Amino acid sequence: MSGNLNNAALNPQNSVVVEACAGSGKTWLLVSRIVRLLLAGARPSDILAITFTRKAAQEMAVRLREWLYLLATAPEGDVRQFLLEREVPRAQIDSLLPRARGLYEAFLTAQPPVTITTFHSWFLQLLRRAPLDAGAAGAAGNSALVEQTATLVSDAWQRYANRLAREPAGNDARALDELFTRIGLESTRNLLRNFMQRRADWWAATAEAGEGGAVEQHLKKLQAEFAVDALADPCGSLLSRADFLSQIQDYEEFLSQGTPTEQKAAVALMAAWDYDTARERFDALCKVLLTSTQTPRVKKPGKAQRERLGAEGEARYLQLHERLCAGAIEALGALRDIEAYTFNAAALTCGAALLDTYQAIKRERQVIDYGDIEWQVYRLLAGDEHAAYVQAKLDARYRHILLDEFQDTNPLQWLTLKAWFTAAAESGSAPTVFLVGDPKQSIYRFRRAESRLFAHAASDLTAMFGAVQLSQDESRRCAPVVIDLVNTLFRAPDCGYGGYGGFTRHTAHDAQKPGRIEVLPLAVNDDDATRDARDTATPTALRNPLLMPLPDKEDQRRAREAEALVAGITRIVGAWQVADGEAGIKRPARYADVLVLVRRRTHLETYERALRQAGIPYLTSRQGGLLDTLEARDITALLAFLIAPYSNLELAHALRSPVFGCSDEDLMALARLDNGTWWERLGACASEPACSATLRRAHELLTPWLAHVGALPVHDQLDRIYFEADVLRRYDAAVAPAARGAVRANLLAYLQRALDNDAGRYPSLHKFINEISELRNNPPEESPAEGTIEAAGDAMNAVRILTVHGAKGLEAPIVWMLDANATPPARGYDALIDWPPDAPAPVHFSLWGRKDELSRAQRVHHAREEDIAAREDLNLLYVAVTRAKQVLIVSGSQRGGEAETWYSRIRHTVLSLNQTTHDEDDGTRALAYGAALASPTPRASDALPLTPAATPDPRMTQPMPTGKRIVTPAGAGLRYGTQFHRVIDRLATETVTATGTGVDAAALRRELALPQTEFDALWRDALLVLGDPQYRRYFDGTQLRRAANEVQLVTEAGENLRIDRLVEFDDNGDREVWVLDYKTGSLDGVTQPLLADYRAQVAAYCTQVARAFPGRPVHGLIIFAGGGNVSVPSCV
Amino acid sequence: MAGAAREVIGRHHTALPDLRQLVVLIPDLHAAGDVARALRHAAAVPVLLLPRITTLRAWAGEVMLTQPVLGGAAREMLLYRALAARHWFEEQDLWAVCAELAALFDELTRQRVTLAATQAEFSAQLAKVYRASGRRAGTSLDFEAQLVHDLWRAFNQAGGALDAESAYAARLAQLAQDASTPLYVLAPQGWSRAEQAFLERYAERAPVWVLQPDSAAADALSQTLAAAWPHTLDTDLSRRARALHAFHPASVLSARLRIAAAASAENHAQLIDHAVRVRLAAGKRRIAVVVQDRLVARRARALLERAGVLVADEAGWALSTVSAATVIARWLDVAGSGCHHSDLFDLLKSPFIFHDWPRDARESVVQRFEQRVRADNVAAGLENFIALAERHDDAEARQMLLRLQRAARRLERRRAPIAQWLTLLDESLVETGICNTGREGSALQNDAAGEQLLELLARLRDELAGDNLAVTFADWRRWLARALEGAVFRDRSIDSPVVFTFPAATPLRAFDAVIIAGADAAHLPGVETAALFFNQNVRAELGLRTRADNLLEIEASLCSLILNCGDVLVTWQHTHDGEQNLLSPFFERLNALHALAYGTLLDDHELVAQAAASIVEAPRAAARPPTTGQVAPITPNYLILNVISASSYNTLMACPYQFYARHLLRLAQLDDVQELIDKSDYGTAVHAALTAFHRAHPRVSDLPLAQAVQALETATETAFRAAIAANYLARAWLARWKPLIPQYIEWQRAREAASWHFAAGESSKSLVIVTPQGRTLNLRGRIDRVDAGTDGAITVIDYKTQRQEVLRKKVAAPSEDVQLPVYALLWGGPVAAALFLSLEREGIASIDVREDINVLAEETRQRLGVLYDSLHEGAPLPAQGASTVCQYCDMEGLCRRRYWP
Ligand code: SF4
Repeated sequence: MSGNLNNAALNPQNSVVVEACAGSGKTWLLVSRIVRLLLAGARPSDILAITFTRKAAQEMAVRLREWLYLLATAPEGDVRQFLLEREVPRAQIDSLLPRARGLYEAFLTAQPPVTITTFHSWFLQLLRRAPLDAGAAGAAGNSALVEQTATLVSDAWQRYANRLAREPAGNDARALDELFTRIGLESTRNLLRNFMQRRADWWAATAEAGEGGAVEQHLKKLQAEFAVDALADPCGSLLSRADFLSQIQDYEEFLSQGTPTEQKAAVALMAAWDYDTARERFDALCKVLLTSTQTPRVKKPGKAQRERLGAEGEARYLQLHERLCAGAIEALGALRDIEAYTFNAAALTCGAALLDTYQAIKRERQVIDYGDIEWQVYRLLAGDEHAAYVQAKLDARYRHILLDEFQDTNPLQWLTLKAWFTAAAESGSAPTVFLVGDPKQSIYRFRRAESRLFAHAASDLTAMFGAVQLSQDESRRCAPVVIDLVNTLFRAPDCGYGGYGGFTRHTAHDAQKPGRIEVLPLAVNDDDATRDARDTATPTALRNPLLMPLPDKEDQRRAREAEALVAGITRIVGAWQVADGEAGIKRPARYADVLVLVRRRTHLETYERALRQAGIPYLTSRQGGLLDTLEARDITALLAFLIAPYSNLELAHALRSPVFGCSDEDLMALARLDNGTWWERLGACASEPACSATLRRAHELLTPWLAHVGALPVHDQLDRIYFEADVLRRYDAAVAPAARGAVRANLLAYLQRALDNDAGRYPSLHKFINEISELRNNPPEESPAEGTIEAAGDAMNAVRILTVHGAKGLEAPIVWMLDANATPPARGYDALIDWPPDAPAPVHFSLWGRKDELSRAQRVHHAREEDIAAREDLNLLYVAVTRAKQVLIVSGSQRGGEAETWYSRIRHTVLSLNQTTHDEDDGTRALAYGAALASPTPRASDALPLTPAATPDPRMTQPMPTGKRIVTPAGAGLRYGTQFHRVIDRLATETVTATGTGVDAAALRRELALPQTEFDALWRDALLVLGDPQYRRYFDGTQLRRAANEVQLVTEAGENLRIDRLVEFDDNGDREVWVLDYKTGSLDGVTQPLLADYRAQVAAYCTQVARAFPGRPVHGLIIFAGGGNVSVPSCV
Repeated sequence: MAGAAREVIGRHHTALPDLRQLVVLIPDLHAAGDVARALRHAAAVPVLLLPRITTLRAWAGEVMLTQPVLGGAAREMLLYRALAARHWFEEQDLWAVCAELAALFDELTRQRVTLAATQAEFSAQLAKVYRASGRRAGTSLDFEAQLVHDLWRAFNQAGGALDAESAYAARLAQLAQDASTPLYVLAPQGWSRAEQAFLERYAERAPVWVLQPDSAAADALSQTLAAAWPHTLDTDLSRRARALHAFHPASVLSARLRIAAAASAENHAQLIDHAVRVRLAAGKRRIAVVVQDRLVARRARALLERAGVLVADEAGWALSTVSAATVIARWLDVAGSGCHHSDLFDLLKSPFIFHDWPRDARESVVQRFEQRVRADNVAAGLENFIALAERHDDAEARQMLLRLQRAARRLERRRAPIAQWLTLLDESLVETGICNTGREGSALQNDAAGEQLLELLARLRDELAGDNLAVTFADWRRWLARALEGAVFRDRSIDSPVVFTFPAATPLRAFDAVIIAGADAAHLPGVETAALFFNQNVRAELGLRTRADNLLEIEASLCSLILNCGDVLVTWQHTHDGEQNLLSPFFERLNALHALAYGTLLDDHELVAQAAASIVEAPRAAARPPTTGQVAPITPNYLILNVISASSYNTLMACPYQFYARHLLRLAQLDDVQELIDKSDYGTAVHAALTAFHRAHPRVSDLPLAQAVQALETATETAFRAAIAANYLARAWLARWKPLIPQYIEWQRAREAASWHFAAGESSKSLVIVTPQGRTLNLRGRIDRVDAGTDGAITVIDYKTQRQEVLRKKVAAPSEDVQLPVYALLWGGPVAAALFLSLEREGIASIDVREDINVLAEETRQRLGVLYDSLHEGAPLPAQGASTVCQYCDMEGLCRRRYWP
């Protein structure tokens, strides 16, 4: 079956859409397709492959290169096999062989090359090709890309606020006040940040509106959508409706005949009219009619009631209740609509103004962000004319476009692509399109990915290019047991996967692969029951905090779950057999085979501690987590102390870190010296004999570091710290072995950060520290990630802990889903956007705060959104589960509430796979499906690898002083000499007196391009020398035979010498040769030792010159431009 | 090289040892020394008077022209003017477009390209090459053509000053005209058309010899390289490999070229560091690291310095990245962008400012002042800082700031010509003591980079002196940023056998070892950013250099490196930031050929492992710190204070170690300058408003409702005024509280109706506690509010800006949060009730303790006594916060919780 699929998918003539399940080998398919295209004669520059991450793009590029290498170098049989596997028709193989052999080099040398890229960098490339007359898009080509925008956003806020402070009575100020009053600062910030993140949708939704009028026009549209009448007063009009009032009266009568509760309600109903305003009356009325969740209070027919009211009376009573409730609910709805509308009016007013400010700031600073790139490119390509220009201007002409991970595409990206296709088709070169993805793995809605686009794009491509639609449901990764789970889990009727997109049954490629699912019981508090009992009783004794820590329920549950994790890993590693590599050879599991997945990265600490305690090595990769790790904070504290030595806490923090390893006793010793900053105290302490060695060491190390601040670049300073304090090795000693790799990686990542800082513009330690503290407050995706395993040096055998999002694209033999009973985070204060996949722009765009405040019109869109979110949560689960090749273990801790969680879904599924019913399960037992992968062999130890035993060459660990600093840098002095010659050269041809010459000084200065002051000095010196009669003979051409400036010679020892002026006199003299050397300043100003140096130098020149002019006397003369000279006696 | 040298000497042996009458052209001045040595060697004389060994550009530079020459900056300025007048672009894009245009025009000159005579023809030519259907891409294409054509004509028709590239051409013409000395050309490739033309013209008048420096004839090595990098791909790789093997059965490459792949950036730097030191240890004296990846090289240089190996860096850095430039940029931020406190202190802490203040004295003034700024929370504005200094009578800080202010005033103008901006900058630098007009110069003037930077600015000012187009401060700063970005600082103060250099500086040089550092596909050849104008096809059509030309040139320079050095190491990173990386295609091909011909790759795997083990040891040995564990210090009595507050008691409850760090060591997080008040300031402001209100109106019910609301509103506005003046966004806090006022008044009236009346607000109290063992301890605190009821009953109230749910949790475990019991204690007698008053958006609500507050207070007091006694008796203070506590604790750096096993 996969043969058929591949045959169609790889056929270079076809346009193809492949929906490929997790682990089915998408990259294999995509890269194979590129090979087939090249084989079929495509030029490398014809091919454009787009994916979503650089990592994926790199992976493809590497794979492609490897395969082409194989084609070029492997034995013929292998090449044939390779081609057969990729469905090259057997009959063509012979004729294609030579071509296959040559692809590798053709690929490596191609200009332009195959383009394998991400959407963003491709877009950036296109922008660089934007027409110069395309306004903002054209300008974007000049701008630098910023990946971190949090600082820009906060600058925009500040500028916006400053503007409002100047116009406190303006429209914007009122709007912002309204937001502040309604939802407060934090939520306003969140709301508007989310609005700005969705600005492309906003622009798309308001593209029709003219400049400046977007908010107004959009509000008009919302007003119509929400059916809001600006003047309406729903409560007032309801309460002034005569029929409603008479119904109330009737109703009240019924109530007062009823049960005691109903009678009370009657009283309340009457009391409602005591209020002054319609709104208050209405609220009181609602309290009688409706529950707190604003649904009608339940009234049912009943025997007693019927006896009281008669059948007709009862019917009338119930009908009245129903009608009144309907009226109230309707009015409530109308009220909510008005509120939601005014909320939008305020929020969109502020949001749009803030957005304008943000955009303006970026323009000023000539930067663009990802959002701008997408929008600009879309605008560019949506315009017919510009699209044609861009396509013409690119060096490459794409004829084959491959799209990977298509489920992560957003509507704008798709529209942009479509515009591209259309423009290409119109200019007569319609491309083939190969699109692969899996809507089930769409988990990036928060980055605007739209999973529904997949189906839509598939049908579009079929219509445009006759694309073939294929579906690949065979997993090459997962064991049958895991596939069983997937099939049962996602085909469950309550699962929601049937809704749209559907779910087709998966199969496992390797039917023999062993696998196992385990569901552990939920962790509970050990003493929930007992504590509750105590709570009600009077406490006997208060807790003594010195003896007993404050118990925390959540901590306890996590600790329990962590214990289970440790126990599980210990049970498995070294004992269970996993299948390794393509061939599936069995070997005992290692720590590195275990992938621990969590939904969110918060709360990981407890688990990590348990792993440390158990000596299980682990690596956590928290996106954006670097600066929050303790080691990074240590170094930050140290640096912060260096720029502000009065920061006592920072110093104490640094002292306690392994860099110095001070104890609490050390700190107390400093605390005892009651006076001065801690740094001063440390100085005082270090001068005492009683001072501890650690404190003394700290003082010795810190003193020079403080002196270097500002003088050394940050990275160099930090490197010196790492080196002199032996930082890496000290951390190794201080932290548990299990955490070493991670800590080391983080310390190096921090150093790398400093390196990047120094390569940036205008670096300083102060700026670096500021940036670090800003970045720490950034959202995780804009903050540096923790060090990666590669940076740890040796490939460590460690358990990996990742978020599900972070694990996309990864796999492991054993996957542990931790904290699986957690629920997805609540949402709110966001944009509500409805952009159907086939629409050119959103059909709805509004802002909302809380769910119960949505207008009725919004509810429809919101419900759809909730559906999609629920579906996405399932997608996330699908991704998590399908990371497992063989073993999946699920754990979690108990929580209140009844909501379905990943844990409960999996638990039910495993029960049903085991054909046990739900009722038989009390939740306290572990469940399993599939046989354990236990091994008959005795348990192998899987301890931490030791550092490589390579004994270093002793010379390599010791200093090797090499090179020296030159005292007088060559720069200025050398230039003076050179320029002096040029001036003299120029003057030597003119008559010069001490006061003047015929040469135009100003013109000469321009020629030499020298600053005035520098030139003036030169000019003065040159006149002095040339005007001095005693030097006449060395410059007057009539008196000498030959003279040259800046004569260079090279000696036998390989030395290069440069002589200022070499003068040869005539044969009729004594044929002497003079070596002239100019110095600035005057003879009087030169110290004796320096003069001795000068003499020695000139004497050395003379010696060499004498070797070049054998038999001729050589003299040296040092001329001081400021007056005076020294002759160096003949050397011969 | 030796062959070429012999050829030169052979022709001129009669003149030996004096070859001054010859000119030898080399591609880069760095090679001059080696060429000289090679010549002397070939001449076999003890001393050789050298020919002029120079580059063509340097040689031509000596020719004096009669026409004036326009500097690069002046030319860009003219382009700027012309573009600005045409209103095609917005201000902020102009410099970038100018720079690209200038670069394009230079290329056109260098390659002697003449554009089509009319713009229409040029347009048509572009359209043809772009293969764009004229109708659809038309306007933009015409615009591009017009832009280039128009300005090109404008700049080439006018007589007058020559731009640098035209001047070069004119000088070449002059040189060729005056040709008399024999000319040797040791740089056979890379000549532009203008230069080629020169060589041809020169040859008409004087002898010109173009020598192939690497003409190692057809030896095995060059054949190997030719097989790896053939000019055409007509013969496939394996056939070429077989042919090579047939000719040379043994590899000549494997002994002289190795490829080593590192796993990370750090690993990569280690690799380079190790390789250099191994070569030094082996006695090699001229080691070149050809830098492809700057960052890795910088890291490697630091590692080498650990071993005392200094590196001479020929590649240099953009001036904008040196700290000398930082001080100027920061100064302009302070002067021109509102003086943000972080810019101000970055400036004041620079070693380059106020040269006339002794460093120590300056630093202590700055530190003292910085602490004041933090304490008083002044965010920005030079005048605000001056006012602060005045408030605190800090004469020295004031003096510094006034100098900054005087200097900043010089830069206060809307528009000025660039040269004038530069003069103003100069003056302001003198004013701020960044520069010194005196003899000895300032730190900046004595700094190598600073000196080059100031020279650059002086030169530019001079060059632009004649231009009077006024630009805004912002635009001038953009110009300045580009100028500093474009200029390179080279530190020439190091003389070392280890040289970091760049590819163009390597030809003809004799190195003992070469390390090509960073040879991955991203750096070698890397991707060029596309130029703004034209594409490769158009460039080819016009006769400009294309990407393919550049690649050939790179290939040639790699060839020459490999041919000339017997020890080449190529390093790269196979992963980069966790992503897979690709080896440079050049070496990829070399490796593939080698594998096919000789069955082995050139990869060196051992080196990587060796490098990791060859890290230089720290200069001083110290005992390694012990493994971090949970801490529980025992505090000596002298650190224990006999004063405690409700909040420190709470800290002791939450985590004794935190209590120890805060209250016994007395460490606290420094206040950062906050731009905006936070929630705790909000609480303070609301408390202040309420206290003021109640003090003025002890009986709220006596006031009409509206008036009461009004009064509290007024008190609120007063309490928030300062915060809002500092930052408008503080209105958010005001807006949070204001809507609650009517509700609050209502609550208050209801309370008064129940006979509870405001008695005191913010009342400070203290209480002496005698511990079981007879020690005395002072419990202090300020009660937010005390209400009096009938019969002298008392309620103590704590205002809270926390949600009701949070407060309910607190009163559910009343002995854990000691605030209310302590209030009750402080009151000093039995109280009727103690309650939290939640002032939150969800509504005003009072939440009181369920237990008997007086009993609880007594127990709380007793416990405090017991705890205090235990401290004195040496009870340890364990670090044991729950994660909810640790989350907000500043002391984690001390307790080191996350490292506990
Ligand atoms: S971080 Fe936690 S354990 Fe450490 S001092 Fe703070 S509260 Fe205590």
